[in-house]
Amino acid sequence: MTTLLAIVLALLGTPLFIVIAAMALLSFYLEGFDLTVVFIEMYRIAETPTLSAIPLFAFTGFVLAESGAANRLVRFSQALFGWLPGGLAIMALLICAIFTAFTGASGMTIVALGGLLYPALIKDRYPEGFSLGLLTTSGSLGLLFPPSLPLIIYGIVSETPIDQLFLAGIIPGSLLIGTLALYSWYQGRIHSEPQPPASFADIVHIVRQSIWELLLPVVIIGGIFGGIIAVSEAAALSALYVLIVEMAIHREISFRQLPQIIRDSMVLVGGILIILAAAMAYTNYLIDAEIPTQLLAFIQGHISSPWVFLIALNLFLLVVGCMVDMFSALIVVVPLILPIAHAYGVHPVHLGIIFLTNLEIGYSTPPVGINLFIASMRFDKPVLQLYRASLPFLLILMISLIVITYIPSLSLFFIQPN
Amino acid sequence: MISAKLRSFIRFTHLLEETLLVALMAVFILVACGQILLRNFFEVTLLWADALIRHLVLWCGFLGALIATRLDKHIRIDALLRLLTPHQRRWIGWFTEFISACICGLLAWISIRFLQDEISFGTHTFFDLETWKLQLIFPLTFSWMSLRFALRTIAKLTQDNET
Repeated sequence: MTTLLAIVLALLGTPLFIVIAAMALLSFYLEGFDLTVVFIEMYRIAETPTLSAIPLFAFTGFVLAESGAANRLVRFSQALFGWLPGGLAIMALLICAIFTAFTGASGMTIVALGGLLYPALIKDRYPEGFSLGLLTTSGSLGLLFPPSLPLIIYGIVSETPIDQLFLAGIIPGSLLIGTLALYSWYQGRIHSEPQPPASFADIVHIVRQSIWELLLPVVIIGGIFGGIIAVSEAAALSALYVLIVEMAIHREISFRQLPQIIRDSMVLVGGILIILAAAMAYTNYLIDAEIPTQLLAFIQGHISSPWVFLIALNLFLLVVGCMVDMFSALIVVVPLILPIAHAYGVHPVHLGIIFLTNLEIGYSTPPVGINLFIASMRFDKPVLQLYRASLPFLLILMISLIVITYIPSLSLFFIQPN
Repeated sequence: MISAKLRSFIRFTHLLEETLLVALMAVFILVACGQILLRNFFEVTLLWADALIRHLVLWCGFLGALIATRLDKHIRIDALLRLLTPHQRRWIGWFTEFISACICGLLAWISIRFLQDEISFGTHTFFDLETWKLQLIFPLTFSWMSLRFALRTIAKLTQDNET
């Protein structure tokens, strides 16, 4: 009954933290608990060490988005890949992936990069449908690469080491990009007219301009995997790093812009954290009431093979990814699914990669995937046209999803067996 | 309808919450980076830094959420709403804002009771601060949010009467 009420409220567009808090309050009240227990749980936000990575990486992403970094990235990859058949399209994929890894799936990729890349693709004679589909589905590509916020959230919610998740995403993330790149190469050979290769002097000039931003992933990834710094420390250093690069070296961000950037990034983070706070209380109730155990018993009664379980999980998560924002989906669904997946022998790190790949694809899945609507607004095209345009890309992504789901070693390759 | 005084007071609260957020975020970045540099280059460990940072996450996050309420940027499922007409959306809108105002009000009230408990326990954290002072963010944000949701409920209702 409470669940039904919550679903109705959520579908009507009530802020999700309100829905979750209401569920927690009502459940604790019905069980006769003192309601202050909700705040004992919420205060755990201030007791979770790695959480500080989220505001810091979000801030880093917003500073980069506000600066000319996207422009420089486009010029850099154009010089390097522009002459290749399908080069521009492949480069668009790569740039979107890098950008999304830093900004999370907040729709910023389509808004910030769409305006740069769409005219460029059309100018190089790529078909309109192809260009739209590519930019729409690329709006959430790259979520499997460090320092993606959804990966960090999954790590915190599932209590899985975040550096392991960062490592685990590398091969599956490359597979998603690689298959789309193959398709782009094929399309590019048919339609596009590649640019003449850039001169050596040009390349040197462009590398010089963008060297500081290009070093950022190296600093983060090298620092974390080299065991020099922890994830939250990497977040602090990258925030400081982009501030120095964009304010002192490129001088594209002034002191005056900082309050606005801080505000915008913290509005995103605040929206996530308050859901996390509410969910901490509710999850605790669910576990007390042994809901995951009951759910497991129910599912085990119907599904015996782990393969079938994974198919069901994929379908379920695609629907969730299409309907629900990625962060809240992770915060609410992961604690429920984790024990069930464990019972079917799915490694928690692999589960995280399956989760994110699904949610990533769900974002562009008709009829209501958010990327379709953001792209429709950004490019001023009817949503129906975007449904059609993203279809081939979705099919390719689905094939990669199946591969990622059924070959766990892709995700677990870099992780020491324990 | 809204008097000039009230309007300037509302503007003042916007300025207040944003200034506080920016100041806290500045301290956050400075302390987070500072402690890494101090530890690695001077072998100095700041014992209070971790607890301070974790509380800054709480405060910045909740202030961000409070501002998100003002800007209508809270995470919600709008999949169905996207398929409705603006008129239908506004009708559903005032109802959900009203529910949100009630829940936030309830949370604010419970958080005050929670703080009373904490005061009677008298626990302390870094810098010998009483814990309840750091938990003040709960009643602060939830009561303010409740007010904001309530104002928006009224705004949406009166808009409906005009159309």
